[in-house]
Amino acid sequence: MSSYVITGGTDAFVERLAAYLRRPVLREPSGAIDAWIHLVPGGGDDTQSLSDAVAAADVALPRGEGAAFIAVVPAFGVIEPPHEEPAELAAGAARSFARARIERWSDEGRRFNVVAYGALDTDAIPGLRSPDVLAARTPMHRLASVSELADAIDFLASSSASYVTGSVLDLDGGWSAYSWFYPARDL
Amino acid sequence: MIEPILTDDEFAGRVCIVTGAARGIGAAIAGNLGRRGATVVVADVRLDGAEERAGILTSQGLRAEAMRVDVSDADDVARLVDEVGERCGTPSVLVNNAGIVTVAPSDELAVEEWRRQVDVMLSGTFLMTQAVARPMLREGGGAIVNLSSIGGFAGHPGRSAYNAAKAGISCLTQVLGVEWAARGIRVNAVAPAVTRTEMLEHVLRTLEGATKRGEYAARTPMGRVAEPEEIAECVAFLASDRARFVTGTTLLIDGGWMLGAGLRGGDPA
Repeated sequence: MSSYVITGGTDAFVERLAAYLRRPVLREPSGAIDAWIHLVPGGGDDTQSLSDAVAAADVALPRGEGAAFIAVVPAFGVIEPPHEEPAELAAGAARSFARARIERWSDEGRRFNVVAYGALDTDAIPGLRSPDVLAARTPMHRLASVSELADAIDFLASSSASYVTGSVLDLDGGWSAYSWFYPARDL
Repeated sequence: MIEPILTDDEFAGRVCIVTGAARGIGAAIAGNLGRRGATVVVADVRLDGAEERAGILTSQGLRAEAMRVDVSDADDVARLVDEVGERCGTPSVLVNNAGIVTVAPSDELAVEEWRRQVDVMLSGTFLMTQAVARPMLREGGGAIVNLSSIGGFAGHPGRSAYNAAKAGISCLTQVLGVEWAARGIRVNAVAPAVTRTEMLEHVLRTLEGATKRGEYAARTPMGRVAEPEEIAECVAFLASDRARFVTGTTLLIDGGWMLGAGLRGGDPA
C-alpha cells in the first residue's frame, strides 16, 4: 500500500494524526507516496523547514498522478506570542511556494495545497494558544479534533480534489471568516 | 491520489436541495448527492428541465423530486421550502447553485441584465438560505454550500454583474458562516474556474467568440477546464460531516488558475 510522508511538527502530533489518516505514515520517503504533508510549526526555523520539505518532495513526490503536497499551517492568530512569528512566516511561505510552483507542478501532474487550521484540540503543537482562548475566539465555540484535521488532509489527497491545486482549505470553525469582537459572538 | 473519503451512504436519510439542478454543475451535484444516499430536491426555474433531470436520477434507482423555483422571488422561495417540507421532510443540505451569465461591455450593459444576474445569484442565494435556515435552526442544523467563482476574486472584462454577484456570495458565506456557527448551520462556498458545461458554451457564443475554447485550458496551469463532477465532489465534501469544522470559507477549485501568473494561453491554436 502507498503511504503519506509527514515532515515537520512534533513526534507526538504526528503520532496522533497518523492514527486517523487513511494511509500509513512515514517520516522519510520510501516506496510509493500519495501525498507529502508538512506540519507547521515544528520548532526552530519553520520557513527553512518548509523549504527543505518542498525541495525533498520535489524529488520524491511521483509525477503524473495528481500526488499532493499539503502544507498544514496555523490560521493567523492561533499561535501565541512570542512564538507566532516563525509559524506565521512559514504560513505565508506555504502560499508563496504554491504560487511559485503552480505551473511546473501542474505540468508535472502534482498538486500543492494548504490546510489552515484554527482551534485544534491538542497539546502537541508548540505555542498553540490555550483551549479556552481558542474556543472563545472561534465562532463554533469548540476545538477541532485531530480526526477532523485528518479528514481535511485525506480529502485533499483524494481524487475528490483532483482539480484542487493552489488552494487553501480553512479548517477553523469560522476563525478566519470572523472579524468582529472577542469573544466570538453571533450578533 | 487516494480514493474519495465520502462513503456511498454519506447522505442517507438526508434531504438535499440543489438549485439550478437541471443542467451543468447543478446536475452533477444532484447526481453526486443522490448516489451517496440523499433524497435530492432537483430545483430549477424550468420545471421541465428539473423533471427530466429527476427522471434520470430516479431511473438510476436514486431518490429525486423535481420542483420549480425562481430563486430571485421571495414568495416562490417560501413556497418551494414549504413544498420540500411537505413532500420530503426538513432539508439538512442546501446547495445554492443557480446561476446565469451575460457577457457584455460594462458601459453598454442593460440595467435589466445587471439586475437579473445580481437577483438570481446574490439575492437568490440569500433568499434560499434564509428560507431554508429557519427550519434548519429549529431542527438541529445543516450545511449550506454556495457556488462562488474565481470571478468573485478578480477582474474579468465584460463580467461586472457576474463577478460582483460572486464576490457578494463569498462575503455572504463569511457573514452567515460566523453568524450561525454556534447554532449548527455551516455555510461554505466553492469557487470553480471554467467548467465544461452549457454555460461555457453560452459564453463561447457571445461577443462574436471573443474568447475561444482552447484559451481556457491553455490559461489554466492544469491545462484543462474542470469537469462538473470535480466540482460536485468538493461540494459533497463541504456538505458532509467530514467537513464539520469547516465554515465561512470559500474553497477554490480552479486547477491553479488564480495562482498562475496567466502568461500562458492567449493563442487558441
